[in-house]
Amino acid sequence: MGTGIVSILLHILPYNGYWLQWIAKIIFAVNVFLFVAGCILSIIRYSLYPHTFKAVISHPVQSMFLGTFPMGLSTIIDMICFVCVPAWGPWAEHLAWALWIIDTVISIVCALSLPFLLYVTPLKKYL
Amino acid sequence: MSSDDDTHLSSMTAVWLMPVVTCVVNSGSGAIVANALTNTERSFATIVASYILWGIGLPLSMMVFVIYFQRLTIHKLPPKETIVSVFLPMGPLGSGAFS
Repeated sequence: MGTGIVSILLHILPYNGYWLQWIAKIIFAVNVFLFVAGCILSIIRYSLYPHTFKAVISHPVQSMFLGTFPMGLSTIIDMICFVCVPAWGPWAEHLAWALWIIDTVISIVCALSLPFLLYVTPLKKYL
Repeated sequence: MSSDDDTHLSSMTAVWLMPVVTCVVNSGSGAIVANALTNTERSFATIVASYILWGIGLPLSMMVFVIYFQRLTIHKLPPKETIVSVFLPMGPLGSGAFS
């Protein structure tokens, strides 16, 4: 998430030099790499050890960090709109729109269900 | 439910905000996506959906702010391990302003 915001900010700084845009693009690539690496690691972790997923959801603090996934994806979508759409053409805007819809669905599910799990999970389970 | 099962207000940290902020951040991103789309009907739908997301996220985060404020006044600052979370309230305020 931090790398995503840095790349967006570098891109839209008002007194820009051409070299700054390149730094923004490099940091954007790093951001995408980190995000994909995190995704793959999470998928591997939850498929090899399925009980950890239940444990994460039941824990009062750790489950909240599941919300950072849509936020990171959001910074990637922003940079796709700024950089990839002018450079790569119309298929990039379809990609950005599709990713944004997926991100929206995930974030609404997170926002409505994670606090609910907070109310419902009894204290004894995670002590 | 016995009394030792009760969750204490002192155990609350600002990380409760995190799932709600995802909606607000997404609405800001939706504005940028709508700007980049060429199909005007899709752009309009994206902007309407962004408004709805903003409407879901910001009031819920205001409610969590109230609980957090009460926790701060009654139980003072959170423990040292979670002290970084005091910066989290900036998230919905900043993203909400941007949206």
